[in-house]
Amino acid sequence: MNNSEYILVSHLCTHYAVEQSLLYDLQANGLLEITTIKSKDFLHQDCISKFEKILRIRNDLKVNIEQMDLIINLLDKIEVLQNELNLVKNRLMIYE
Amino acid sequence: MEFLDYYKILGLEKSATEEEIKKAYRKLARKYHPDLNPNDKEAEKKFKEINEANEVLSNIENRKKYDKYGAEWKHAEHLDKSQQQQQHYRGNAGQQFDASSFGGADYSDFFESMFGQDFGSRSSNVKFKGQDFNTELVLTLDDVYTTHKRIITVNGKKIQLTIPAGVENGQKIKLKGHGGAGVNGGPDGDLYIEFKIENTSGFRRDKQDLYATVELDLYTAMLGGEIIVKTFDGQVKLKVPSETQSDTKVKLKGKGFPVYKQDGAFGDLFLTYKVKLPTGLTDKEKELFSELQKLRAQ
Repeated sequence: MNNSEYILVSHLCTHYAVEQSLLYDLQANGLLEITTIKSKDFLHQDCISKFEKILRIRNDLKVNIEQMDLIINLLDKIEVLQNELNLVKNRLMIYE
Repeated sequence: MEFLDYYKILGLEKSATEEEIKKAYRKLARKYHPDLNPNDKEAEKKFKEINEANEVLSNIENRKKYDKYGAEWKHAEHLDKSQQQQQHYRGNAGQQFDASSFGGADYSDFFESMFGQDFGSRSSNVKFKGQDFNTELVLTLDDVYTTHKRIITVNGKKIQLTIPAGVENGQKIKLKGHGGAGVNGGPDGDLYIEFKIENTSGFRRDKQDLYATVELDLYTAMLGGEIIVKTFDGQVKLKVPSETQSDTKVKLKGKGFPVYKQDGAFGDLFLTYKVKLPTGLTDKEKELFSELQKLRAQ
C-alpha cells in the first residue's frame, strides 16, 4: 500500500470546509470508502473526484445523503449503459 | 454581449416571489446540473445561465437594479449618478459611460464567479478543483494502428499525448490536471479526450479483430489456387483449396488490429470468400458449361 496516495480525512475536511461527520455519513451509506491506517482515517486519492462531485451536487441541489445515494447509483448505471452503448455501436459498424 | 432575460431563463413572471424564484431555480438546477448530465454541453450552458439568473434574482438589491436597468444593472450606481449629473448639468449631452472605471466588470461576471477563476460571491475560501474539460479527437484507423505521439491544443495550451495503438472508437482517456484552473488554490481540473475513429480502410473492426470480404473467381474457387490478399499492413499469399464455397471464412492469426496496451499482441483477420461468377460468356464457354452440366446430371 502506497501511503502517499491516501489523504487524511481531517485535512480533507479543512480543505473543503466540511464537517467530518459528512464523510462518515457518506461512508455509512456506501458512497465513499474510508481507510484506517494506524488509527487514522484516510481517503484514497482516486475517491477525491467522486467526493467533489458529491459536494457539488449536495451544495447545488440541496439533496440529503439518501437522495445523493440514489443519484450516484443512477449516474453509475448511466455510465455503464453508455459504455455498453458505445460497444454495441462499434459492433454494429461491422455490419454497416 | 448577449442579453439574458433572467426571468425567462427561470420560467418566471417579473412579479415572481422569492419563494417562486428559489423553487424554479432548484427545479431547473436539478434538471441541468452538469454532474447529472455528463458530456452534455447544452445542459452545462443552461446550468450556467440558471445560476447566473438565480444569483441576480435571489438578491433583493441586485433584482431591483436588474428590474430597473436590465442588461446594464451592474452599472446601476453609475447610471443613477449619471442621471443625477445630467439633471444637474442640463444640456451637457454626450457624456460617455465608461465601464472600465468600475474595474472593467462586464455582464458575465457572475458567470465567471461561478465557474471561472475567481469564484467571487459564491464562496470565500473553499478550495475547489477546476472544471473538467471534455474534447473529441478524430483519428483514422490507420492512425491508431501504431502507438504515436500527437500534439493537441486545448484552450491555447499545447499538450503532447501518446495515443496507444488499438484505441477504440468512443474510448475516453483522462489527462490529470489539464482542465480548468483550480479555485482558491484547489487542484486543476482534468481533461477528458474521447476518440472518434473514422474507418475508411475497407476492413471492419471489432476490438482487435478485423473482418474483410475477398472476391474469388469461379475457377480458383472450383479448382483451388493461390491468391494475394490485402491485410491491414501489407499483403499475404493464401492457398485456396479446391471446391471452396462462397461465404467460406478463413482466419489469419495475428493479422488483425493491435491489442490495446499489449505491446506486440494483435487480433486476427477474418476473411469471407465471395465467389464471383463470370459474366459475358462466349458461345464456346456456354457450350463447355453445358457439357459440364450434363456431366453433373449423369
